[in-house]
Amino acid sequence: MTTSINVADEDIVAVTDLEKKFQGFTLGPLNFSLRRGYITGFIGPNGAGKTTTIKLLMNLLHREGGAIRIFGQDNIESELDVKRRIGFVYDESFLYEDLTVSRTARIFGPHYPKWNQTAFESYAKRFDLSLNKRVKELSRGMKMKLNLSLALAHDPELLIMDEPTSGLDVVSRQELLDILSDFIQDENRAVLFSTHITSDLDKVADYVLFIRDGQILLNTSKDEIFENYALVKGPIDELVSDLNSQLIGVRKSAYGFDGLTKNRTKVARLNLPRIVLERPTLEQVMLYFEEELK
Amino acid sequence: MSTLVLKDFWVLNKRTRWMLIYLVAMVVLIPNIFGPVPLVFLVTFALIGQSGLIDDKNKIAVTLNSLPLRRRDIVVSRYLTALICNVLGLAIYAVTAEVARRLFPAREISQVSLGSAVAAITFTAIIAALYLPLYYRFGQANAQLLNIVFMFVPFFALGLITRMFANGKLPWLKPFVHSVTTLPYPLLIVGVLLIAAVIVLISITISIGVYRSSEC
Repeated sequence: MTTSINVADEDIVAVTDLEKKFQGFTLGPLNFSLRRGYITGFIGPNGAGKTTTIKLLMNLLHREGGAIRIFGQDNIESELDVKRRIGFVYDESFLYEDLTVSRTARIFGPHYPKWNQTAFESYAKRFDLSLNKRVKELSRGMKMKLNLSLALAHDPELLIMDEPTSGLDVVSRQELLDILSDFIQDENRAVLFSTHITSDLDKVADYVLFIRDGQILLNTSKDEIFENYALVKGPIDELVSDLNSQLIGVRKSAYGFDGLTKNRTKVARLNLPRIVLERPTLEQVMLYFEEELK
Repeated sequence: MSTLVLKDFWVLNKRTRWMLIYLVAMVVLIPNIFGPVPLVFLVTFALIGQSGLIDDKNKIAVTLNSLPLRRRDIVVSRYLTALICNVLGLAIYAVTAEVARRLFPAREISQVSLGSAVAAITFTAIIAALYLPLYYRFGQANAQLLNIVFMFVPFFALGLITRMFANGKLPWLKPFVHSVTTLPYPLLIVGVLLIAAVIVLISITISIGVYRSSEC
């Protein structure tokens, strides 16, 4: 089911046979890569392994098998060099609540050779972050903006974001997506963007990694999904075996059926006059995969 | 590394000021025949404990371990913070005791001698060296009980050993005490400092190992 992206020169991250075991949950073996110049959306239900994967990339958890190469280097052996080139934004702020925004930046700055205080202040201004405010006085959304400012101020080549849009209002989310689009413009950087709000990825992601129960179910470009995948709907009597074999997560009701196909062309060639093919959203793709696995 | 130490004091800001005010008040108001050891120890441990508590509450290890920082530096910086608290507490004590002696000549206020300064620094450093590996293993919240143990047990233990020794109940300790007390004073001071340094170095090595193996 996994469509792997070939490891190539432009890969900024290459994960091979990555494994991590907890009591009652096993992640992997995972194989995927992230390419320079692209935003990869990392989707999956809660507990699927998104945060665990991100923590393994950041060496916050110890992997039990496999390899992680970031910028062509092992993420543990070359940890410092690798981390100097990574910006991170997590789902919580993990900052000192009693410190001001300015002092928080002074904790981050000295560890990054490319830290740009002017850039940090410029992002803070753009996000209406007062430098003298304490972190505890910021809303969840503003904390995320502070984390984003800290992540971007050292001009990272790779931005790793774990659920950055959760708790953000629509305007802030759009603002974040605009920044990501700008960030990726020079085609030398990459973004890994974990989220359960897949509508954000519909707008900005180039690639999609879908993880469930510690396994990657889908690893492909968003364009490929939108070109080849289709939402198929029709009356029950049109659900012939040729069609059924092409569908994922078929749901039946008194009014008809619906399901997802990975092969829009093949389904279209079946010439079933009463079925309708629609372009799916990423959320629908995720839901039908979920339905299939139930 | 300096940023890591500095951030501990930024975070402790208000608490440090209160602890120093408390230290000054204790020196001035309470008759103290033990010298600087108990007060410097209490101040250092209160600040180190608070620092650990704040780090745990804010889950700051996630951020620190995500920054381009060596785990070793994160651990060593905490020991440096403890040492600075230790020396700062001793300095404040010394200044306050001297000022108090001049202001209240009738009151008995223990001054800082070379011996008591070394005793305060080594005693606090050794207890910190025992405490910090446990903090890195269990976290401040889980080590609350241990914290209390580390706050009070050393005093009771020392008091008990001293009393037992004075009553002749620890004869096996006599040759050791004799050989130590007959050492030339400078050699004794250097020896005590060296032993403390070795204990702290072993403690740092253990803490680094514990911290490196931890996950967050």
